Amino acid sequence: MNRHLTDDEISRAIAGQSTLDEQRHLHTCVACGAELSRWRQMFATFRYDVRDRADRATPPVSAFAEATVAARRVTHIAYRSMWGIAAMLLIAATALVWQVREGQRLASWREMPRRVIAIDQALTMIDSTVDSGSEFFPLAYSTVPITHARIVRMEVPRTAPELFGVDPAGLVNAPRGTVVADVVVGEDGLARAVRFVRLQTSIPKE
Amino acid sequence: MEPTAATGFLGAHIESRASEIADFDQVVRTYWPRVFRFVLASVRDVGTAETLTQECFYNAYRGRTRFRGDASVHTWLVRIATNVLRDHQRSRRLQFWRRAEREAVDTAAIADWLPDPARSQEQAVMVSEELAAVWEATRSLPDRQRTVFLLRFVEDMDIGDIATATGLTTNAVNVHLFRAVRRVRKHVRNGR
Repeated sequence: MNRHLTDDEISRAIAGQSTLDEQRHLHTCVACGAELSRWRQMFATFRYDVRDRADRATPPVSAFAEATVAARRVTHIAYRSMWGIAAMLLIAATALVWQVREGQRLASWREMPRRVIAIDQALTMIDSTVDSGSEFFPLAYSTVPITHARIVRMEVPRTAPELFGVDPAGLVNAPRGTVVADVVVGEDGLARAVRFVRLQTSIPKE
Repeated sequence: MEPTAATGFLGAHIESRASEIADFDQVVRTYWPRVFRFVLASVRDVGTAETLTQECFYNAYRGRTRFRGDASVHTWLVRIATNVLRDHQRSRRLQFWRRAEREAVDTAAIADWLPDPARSQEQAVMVSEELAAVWEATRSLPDRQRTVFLLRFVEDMDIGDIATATGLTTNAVNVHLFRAVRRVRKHVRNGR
């Protein structure tokens, strides 16, 4: 190659894309070599300048990094807190829904013993003759919802407790040979539950 | 199939790159200056460069789980920075006004930063003017050409890494680089 490199060929050489012929020429031609060298020098100066400006402009990396990291941590913690709160709310909401649904499903049976027990406790406080007895046993209509109930005390045959697996010994009302039972009756008149009562003293005779 | 020595080495290399991300604090400290430099050269405004660099690292942090180690951490960050810059430039085009680049390159001050204090005043002025022309030329380049030019001549990245960082093919990178160099030279010559 006897001629000098064109502008485009010099540009290609600066970009590192020159052909073998062009590279050979650049090694032998002082003028083209100097032109390439001049541009390389200029771009090197530009690189130095950019780096110098960046170094001057950048606050100490540690300070910047710390600030960024700190901001990120705050964001991260905020996100984590948000997720934590969201999870707690979700659990609470799930529990609430479950409770409502479960409550609806078992309303009649679950609600009744509580009411009955409350009445029973009141009854126990009022009637000192009641010592203790069996638990309440659900009856056929125990699943029918009620809003009000009352307890009716009655005497039942001594075989009644046996039907619920309760030993009638100690429950039997000696004079009559019967067992005293508390029956929970809803406002609709249907019996919901029954328990058998042991009396400390006998029921007043009529 | 048993892994060969080469794939084993490559796998370990990729794993090593991926594990580098685990300590993100260290990633910020190590790569912040380089990314900031590239962004600063692209936007020529310190305040904007700081904001965009911060955005770049924030995006990197959010996407760190997707980093597989196929490229180096630096190349990955430059790719994110390139996207951030592209978004920034797009948004700027929609503006009817431009914020004054109060911290843009001061051509009068450039001569003082040059490394050789022994050169003559005349040489210093000439170099200063040429340097200012290069700065001006990079600003006038199309976005892709400027990105490729800066990654090659400021960040010293090779063509393959530039292709990975910009999402271009190596051929496209070569074409953009050549055009950028030609344009910068023309701009500097005309401004002389």
